[in-house]
Amino acid sequence: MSEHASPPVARSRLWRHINQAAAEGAFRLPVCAACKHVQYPPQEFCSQCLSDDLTWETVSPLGKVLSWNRLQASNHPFFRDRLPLHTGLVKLECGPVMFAYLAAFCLQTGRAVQVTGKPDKSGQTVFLAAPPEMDPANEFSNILMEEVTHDTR
Amino acid sequence: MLPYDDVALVAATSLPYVKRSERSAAWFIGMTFARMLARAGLQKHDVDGLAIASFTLAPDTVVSMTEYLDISPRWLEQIPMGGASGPVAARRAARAIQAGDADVIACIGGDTATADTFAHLVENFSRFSTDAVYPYGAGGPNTVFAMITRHYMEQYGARREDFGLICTAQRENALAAGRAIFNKPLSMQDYLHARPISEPLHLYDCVMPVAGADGFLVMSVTRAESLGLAYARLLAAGERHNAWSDDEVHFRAGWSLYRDQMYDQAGLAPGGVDFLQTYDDYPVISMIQMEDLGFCDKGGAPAFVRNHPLTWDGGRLPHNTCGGQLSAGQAGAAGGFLGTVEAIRQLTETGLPNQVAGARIGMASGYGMVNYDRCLCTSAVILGRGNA
Repeated sequence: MSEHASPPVARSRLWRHINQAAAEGAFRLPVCAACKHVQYPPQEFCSQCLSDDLTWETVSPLGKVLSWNRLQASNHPFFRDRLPLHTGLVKLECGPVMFAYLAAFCLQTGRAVQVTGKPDKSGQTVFLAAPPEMDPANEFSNILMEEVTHDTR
Repeated sequence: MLPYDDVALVAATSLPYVKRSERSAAWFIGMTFARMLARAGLQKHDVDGLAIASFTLAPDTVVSMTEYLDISPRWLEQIPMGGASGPVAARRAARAIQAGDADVIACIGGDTATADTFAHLVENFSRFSTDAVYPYGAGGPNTVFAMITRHYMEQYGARREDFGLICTAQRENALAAGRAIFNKPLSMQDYLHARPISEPLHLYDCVMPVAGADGFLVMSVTRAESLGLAYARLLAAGERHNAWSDDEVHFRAGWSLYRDQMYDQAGLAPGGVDFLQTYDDYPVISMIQMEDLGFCDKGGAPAFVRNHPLTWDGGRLPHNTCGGQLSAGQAGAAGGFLGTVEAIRQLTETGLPNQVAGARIGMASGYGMVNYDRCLCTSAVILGRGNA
């Protein structure tokens, strides 16, 4: 596990905002101050009105599953002994379409989900999709960074 | 739109694909260039235009290729459109010939494949992909097209057997053509029982990354005839990128926006097309092309493939007559040339082992560059037999 103990770590510079929000337990995406369009994946100007006046705002993490897959082959060694993995294509109520790990009990088109950002074992945020009342983190413990606990032993 | 009068496509050339190679992309492109010259009876300095598509040529570019080949073109183009690059190259080269900006243009798509080129390519494909797709299991395009495939199946009632009809017919075509990497018959049972890759996609829905190159020359009809070359005429061409961006899940693409203009320009209807070469990175994408190019209505492709044999000798509408990428493998950007080159070959040669009987009109389409949740680039050409 030592050589491939980490999933892909590369992200764009903008991803630090995603990481920061996830660390605070928040869901923030770039929102256009001019036209309110919500941008994902993040970019530095609004794809709709071309304004570069974007602010990272809390937006609704609710959405629905548009489609999903069961991945059984990976291009990266980290994942190869962690398959299968389920990914959903999630339409967010705030606008964008997002890829997110999908809880195994949500493998259904149209399923209502909430997305939550968590650090994977590279320390970069990935999004998990599950019903709003459920915490999907346990299901993805082999992908996610271990929770920091204040164990006093 | 200005007609593409008097533009000839000649010397359709495919360098045999191999699964792995220690050769560079420049070698694949260079050897294709040399073979094309030999086929056309030209010297390298007769070529004054060069269009290249390649993922693995980097850090070199089409500019570097002029030094590798030691030629001095007056027209250069690099087409960063992957699977859409072949028809786009034909279209742009044709305009340059018409404008007098070049007399003979070599269009080549080529890539090498080492053990890790494909993994490296998908890891660094686009910024959106690096941020928001690749981290989820590093499935590469298999993740994206599983989403598109499942949605299409649920929306239009396509079954795995329908995709299997495309894949098994193409394998028959590949066996007839005799050049494909996959050279064993593929039965429907083989297709259905293949191992899952990114469900609903299984092994034979996916193309194998390989090394290879494909190309053709573009010149005036006058030049082609003076050289005594068999040629295909460019009757119509189109490209459109990032169409239908509001669609939540991809089920149609740019072809639907220009296909009528293409048929008008070519003076024919879909029924007048003798064979079709679609871009087959996944069989669902071939179905979307059959629809968007007007061979059936949206959602009608599953029924279309059930009712049409698709094989090179099946009559009606032979499809991907050399076996396509699903049988030949995907040689990077050469995959964007494969259909166009096969179309030119069908219209300029005789006695091919997979020759479509009596074919006078062919169509080839391209599709490329999965920037986030779909490919953005589309292209197509309609070609006619020139001087046969």
